[in-house]
Amino acid sequence: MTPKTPCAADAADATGADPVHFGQYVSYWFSKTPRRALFCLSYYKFASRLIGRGKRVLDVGCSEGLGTRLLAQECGHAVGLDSDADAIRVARANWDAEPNIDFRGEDFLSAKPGEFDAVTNFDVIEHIQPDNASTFLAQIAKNLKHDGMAIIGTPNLETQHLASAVSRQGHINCYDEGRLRDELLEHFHHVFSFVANDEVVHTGYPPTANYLLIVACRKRG
Amino acid sequence: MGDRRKNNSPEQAGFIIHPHATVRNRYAAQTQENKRTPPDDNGRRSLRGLRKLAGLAAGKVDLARGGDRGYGSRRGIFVFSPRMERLAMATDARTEQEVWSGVKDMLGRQSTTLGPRWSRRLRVDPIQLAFTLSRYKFAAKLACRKNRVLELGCGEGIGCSILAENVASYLGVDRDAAAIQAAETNWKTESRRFQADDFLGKTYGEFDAVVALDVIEHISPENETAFLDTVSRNLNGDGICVIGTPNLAAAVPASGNQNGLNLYDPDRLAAALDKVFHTVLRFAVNDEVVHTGGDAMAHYLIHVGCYKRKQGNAA
Repeated sequence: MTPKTPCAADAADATGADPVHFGQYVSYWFSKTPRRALFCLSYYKFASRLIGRGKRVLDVGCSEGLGTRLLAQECGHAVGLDSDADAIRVARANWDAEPNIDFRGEDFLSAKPGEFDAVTNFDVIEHIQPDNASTFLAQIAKNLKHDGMAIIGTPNLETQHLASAVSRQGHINCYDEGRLRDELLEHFHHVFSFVANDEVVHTGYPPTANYLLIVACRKRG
Repeated sequence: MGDRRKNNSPEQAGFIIHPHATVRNRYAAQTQENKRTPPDDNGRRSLRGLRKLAGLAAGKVDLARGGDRGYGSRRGIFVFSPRMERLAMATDARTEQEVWSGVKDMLGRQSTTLGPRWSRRLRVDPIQLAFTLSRYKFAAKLACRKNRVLELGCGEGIGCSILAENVASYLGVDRDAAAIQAAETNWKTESRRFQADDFLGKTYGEFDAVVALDVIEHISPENETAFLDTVSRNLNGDGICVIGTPNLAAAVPASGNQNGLNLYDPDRLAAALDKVFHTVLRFAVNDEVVHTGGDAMAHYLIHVGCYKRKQGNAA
């Protein structure tokens, strides 16, 4: 990758770019939980570095596509998928003109987006009914090439007592590191566990981490 | 053990079980992970946990405050019998979309339109947003815990939400009037204000913190003293300043000092700050990670100055 100094973006600050709109979700981050935007982008950066360049990535549960845009830029091409039509509308309005990015308003549990080099999903599996979790993981594997990589990010069950009321409202299927690892091993040969505290992704002690980032490769079957 | 659990059944107790508990229990049943926990303790804890979770579901217990110690107990796990689990499953038969619409209802309707600078940056190099927000978070954690914060060179105010999260007031100053207009549109509130102004030599008040990220490299060398004097004169006696700038030592040779930037290496930045502060803490940044590792390889520098020297007393 070409090293960039932070001033490179300043140099590119010409006027004339179409304004970027944040919708309900990202606006909520900035107004109520501003550090969440940082944490989420950091997870996407982690994924983009592991996936590498010249790849096609499927981003499941892409919401307004801010992270999908990062994946497209860093990896080469990204498809964002979300069942929330409002979020997809915001994503399309912002990024549809870019040649390396697509958005689809579909429910991943029944969608067939294709074969990708990588499938990412952040803050998705904790919103899937436990009964559907196995289908969800199978879907991830199904949409990967044989040498594709899956990266799954989800809040850690063991630190849920610190989660906000809004977060808890939607979390119906929280995992701890062990369970997510075990379930992924049913679909992949290799599973690597990372965890995050705030924006820092590491391989430290899972029970005290607020986020899980599990990387799975070499799908079974 | 079995009897005790039966006595604690949710049918008897009339509790609603939070979905987290269900999930954990499924896993526990699969792995037998909980067999090390003494049965007596299990039984008691499960009832206590049920009460707590029932309270949670009814919005009566705030887990963040600890409630009772059950949730965060030694193993951090509640154990339920299969009967309890079935009941819990029955209480949450909503589809994913139904659950999600409940979340959406809590967010409220709003939108944000970014100004030209950040719109452009997200289109050209979106990863920069992560790096920038990380520097703001670091500044907020170190310096913005008290009452009043001044940000010099706030641009379109992208860091305002983070810097102002835990303080009484925030003032962002930038000489770019268009950027200030975008900042006011998106982030202005009663306690978060912006001002279009060339801040060099100006005093806006006595602040607990002055934050200036990506500013000092735009100040010409002959104005360095005036800039640091401006930082100092806007701080109260206990004030802290956070200065962030790209690291000359790690700049790509070809792009080194292009664009007329006045880039600093770590020693020069520390020496400059040392003129106005007794104590300077040196941090280095690579990507979104702020650290105290070798700053020769860091892309970015964040130096924190505290215990300011008396003005006119510069070394």
